[in-house]
Amino acid sequence: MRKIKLPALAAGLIASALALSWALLVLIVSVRPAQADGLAQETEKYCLSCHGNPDLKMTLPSGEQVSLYISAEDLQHSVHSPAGIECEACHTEIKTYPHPPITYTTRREMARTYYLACQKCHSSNYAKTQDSMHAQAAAAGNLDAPVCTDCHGAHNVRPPDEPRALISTTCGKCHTQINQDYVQSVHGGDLLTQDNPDVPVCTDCHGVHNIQDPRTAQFRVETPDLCARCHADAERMSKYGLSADVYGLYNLSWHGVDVAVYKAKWPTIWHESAVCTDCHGIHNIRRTSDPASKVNPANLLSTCQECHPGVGANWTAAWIGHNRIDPQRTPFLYYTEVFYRSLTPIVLWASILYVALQILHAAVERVRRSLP
Amino acid sequence: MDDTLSMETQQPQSEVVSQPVTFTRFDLSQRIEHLVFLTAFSLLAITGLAQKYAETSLGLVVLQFFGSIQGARTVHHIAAFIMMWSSVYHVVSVMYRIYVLRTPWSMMPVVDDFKHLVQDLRYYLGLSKHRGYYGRYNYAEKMEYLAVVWGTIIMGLTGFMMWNPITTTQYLPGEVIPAAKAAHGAEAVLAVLAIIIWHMYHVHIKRFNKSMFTGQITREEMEEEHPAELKQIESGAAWQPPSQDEIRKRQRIFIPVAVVVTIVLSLGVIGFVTVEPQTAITTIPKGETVAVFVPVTPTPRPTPLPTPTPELAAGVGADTWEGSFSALFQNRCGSCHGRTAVGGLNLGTYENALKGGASGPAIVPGDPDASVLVQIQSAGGHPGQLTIDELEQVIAWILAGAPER
Repeated sequence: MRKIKLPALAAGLIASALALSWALLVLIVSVRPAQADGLAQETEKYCLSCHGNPDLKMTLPSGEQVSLYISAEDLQHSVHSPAGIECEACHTEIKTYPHPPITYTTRREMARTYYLACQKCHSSNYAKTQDSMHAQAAAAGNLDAPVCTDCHGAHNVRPPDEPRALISTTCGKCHTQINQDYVQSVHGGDLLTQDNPDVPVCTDCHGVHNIQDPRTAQFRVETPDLCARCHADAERMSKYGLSADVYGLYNLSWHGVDVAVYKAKWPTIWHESAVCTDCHGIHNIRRTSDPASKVNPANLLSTCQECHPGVGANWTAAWIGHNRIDPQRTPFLYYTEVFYRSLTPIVLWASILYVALQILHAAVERVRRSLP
Repeated sequence: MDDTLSMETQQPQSEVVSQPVTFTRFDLSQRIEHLVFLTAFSLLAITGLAQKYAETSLGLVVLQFFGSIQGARTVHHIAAFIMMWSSVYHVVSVMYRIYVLRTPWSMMPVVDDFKHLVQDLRYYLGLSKHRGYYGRYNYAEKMEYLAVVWGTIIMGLTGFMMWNPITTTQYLPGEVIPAAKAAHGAEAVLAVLAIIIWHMYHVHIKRFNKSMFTGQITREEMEEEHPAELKQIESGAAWQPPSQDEIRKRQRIFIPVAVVVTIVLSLGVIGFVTVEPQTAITTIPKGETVAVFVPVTPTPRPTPLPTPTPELAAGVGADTWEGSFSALFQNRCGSCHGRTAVGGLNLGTYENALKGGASGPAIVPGDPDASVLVQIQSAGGHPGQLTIDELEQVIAWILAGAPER
């Protein structure tokens, strides 16, 4: 239909509505046979004349039955077909009927052969996937590891993040347990109920196409920075009454200093000091006020005991939380700091003045002695 | 309180002026104690401040020198252990000097010290002609000694809390642990800066005083630094060691007490470093253990067949439309800009490529800047993006007039 532009429009401006309809009809009728002849790209209707049959099947050498039915509706709602990218763009080896003989033996092999067509247009994303955890799993022999079409679909490719919750659903097709944890978390809950654009979905933390193994030492020491991308953003945190100091204060703590040193110098050496997820949970992060949260005051001691077995009830106060030093909440710490903030300058300035006085005096004496 | 002073007039013949008279200021045990203490102090300062300022580049360099933050911590702990032992030794040796040898309490501040300070300040300001008339230790030395005593106690107590936090929180509120850390760090900064300003100036810069290493001090230095003590020695009014009988008599009481004190303090030091062998587990459970995929029987991954490179027909140059660019465009752009002609552009034939699409001519021979294909591809992010090398080849071809054959 795209080709009927200028003549039809010109005619429409001059002629009546009836004349326009008539002209269109004539054009459609005259263009159609031409499309069927030009097989190269405008193949959709031609292919669907067979593949539009819901009962069309073939049996692969593995014995698996594959339905060859393609839903015209799926194609129409995909991102490709309306843009003119039709069957042959991906099925490059099929020019006409009869088709060339198939080279794959299993259904999975078929999927893994056809998805290679994606790189023709989406080369940079394809290159990223080659670097991903999924590609490593496949290289290690797990051919169920996902390829483009497993996440994006094949004939029904649609925008992957409309709505945003679609992303976690997509990942949850394989990572079921994790997705269940996630939907119950503060992040997942807000995503599903409010479509909140501030909460992270899987890909915000794990990356999109070049997803890396999150169990490495490197991922571990970079976790605080990952969380800080949102949790150190004062503007975003203020919407939820959350403090944006958590990252800065963590970096001053025992855990934070060790992790920062390992991140800076030995990122690939496994290190135990707690990062955000050790206390708050990973996919099941909840509000601190939630009784099921690992860092709810009622559960904090047992969370500490995961790494510090045998600690008593006073222990939790040794972690001043992500709070600033404050005379009410942390008086010992506050007055220690006040004491040294007063004592140190007094002692040092007195010393400096006293030493400076002696140096000055010695210099004056020397000058006086050298004078006649 | 270390005060074993003996006068050694090495040359009693006072007519030999060239030979300076020296006095023994510190005996060998005091000098060794000082060396051990200064070594431990320096190690503690370096490894401790590197932990306090771990995020700085200098801090990281030091930590790397010790192998890891754990390495620096281990050295810090060993140095702390040495310092605690030398402190135990110091307590017992001071007891010996005071009880058995009956030396004066020359390290205790007295009213005269304040008078000396005022006199010195007046002298340095030019208000007076004379400095204080000091004895064995002047106020500056006493202040430094007492600062070391104070600092060692603070560092020991706060160090214990950090080294043994689980034990500490059984008796004290948890908040004392971060408070101990704050005090430990602040006291360290104070101690190190005080050493640099006060100690460096008084014993190294003002006059390089070697007596802590050689044990000896010259008469001239005595006149300058300890005139009251010199006068006492020379008038015979200085402290004299008691008789051997007296010493033996007092030792009979001192030795059992010293043994008990040494055992108690030693147990304290050993308890300090062993009460809590482990504060945290060293193997945290890995976060994710859920098996996501069920492994399938490995089958070789299908690899796409390589596209055969077509032989060039006679009379066709390599860097021409027919030689290479037609195939390149068909491969990279053909899905949309073949016969489908998305946006009106069909790169299937040379003529159509020159004609271009809705945005203008895709290829303008000789003028890559005017060629829409170059404009779009240079901006990047186009589906079917050419690589940088390929784009450069296309530009070179257009500059050469975009020959067809």
